[in-house]
Amino acid sequence: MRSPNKINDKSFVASFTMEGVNSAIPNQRIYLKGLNFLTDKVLTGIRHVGEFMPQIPDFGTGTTYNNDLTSDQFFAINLLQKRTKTLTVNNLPILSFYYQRQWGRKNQYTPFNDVYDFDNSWLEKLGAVALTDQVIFLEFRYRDKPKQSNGSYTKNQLRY
Amino acid sequence: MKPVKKHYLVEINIPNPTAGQRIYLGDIPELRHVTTEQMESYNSGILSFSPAQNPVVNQTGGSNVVVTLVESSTEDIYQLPYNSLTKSLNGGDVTEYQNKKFNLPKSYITLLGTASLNAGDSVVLSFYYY
Repeated sequence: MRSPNKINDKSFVASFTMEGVNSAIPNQRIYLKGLNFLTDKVLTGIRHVGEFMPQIPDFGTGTTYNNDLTSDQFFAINLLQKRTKTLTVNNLPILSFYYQRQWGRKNQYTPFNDVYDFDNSWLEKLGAVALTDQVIFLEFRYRDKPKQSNGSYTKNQLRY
Repeated sequence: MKPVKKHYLVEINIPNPTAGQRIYLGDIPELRHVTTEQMESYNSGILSFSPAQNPVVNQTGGSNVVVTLVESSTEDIYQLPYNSLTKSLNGGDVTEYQNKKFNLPKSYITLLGTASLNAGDSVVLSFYYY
């Protein structure tokens, strides 16, 4: 088995549904709901896994959400660095992750090494398009922050 | 690819494409006095619209565009083809720079032709920096 698939870190696949994506709203934001547990972790990579999961099941909502790569090309991700509370990743197109996985020689993940505030990070829709009932799948790779024996972090440990 | 430290998506709008036209990147406060580590470009198949809601050039349009990046006052990166910065067209390669502090108000794109470039299209460049 090729080594790039070996995962030492933890992994979480998140789905982002386009329930209220409206053509009339430019720069519409979809906050990364359900990922706030990552705020205490070190994000080490993001991978696009859309075409492996063409749709998510109907969980009794009456709606089936489908994945379609052509809808993903309207989205970019914005990540707020936790330490400085600044937007350090500004509008990174999410299909950049797809092509990193498809073609990246060293790893399939776009590598990161920082702690982000996922409560205040978001996907941004670029273009006046409505994409109702579409879903985006991204895999987040992360690890726990190292702690001192007393449970706190040193200054250096926080400086990822 | 190196780990992403900071990223900024730069848009250069082409209001009225003309062969030989030069369009400057302009001042971007976030990218003043920073070191650029990696760069990436996109076409409409990867990102359909820019942050300012302008259509992104398609691959044919991108082949008419070259990028010149100025460090201090010298054109250190001269006429780099826009599509050569697109990951999907280059076997996954992301262009990397070492210790480059670009002067963006003096940096520019040049249009070599106008095929598939429509008025109001934008080219977008990813700057991975620290």
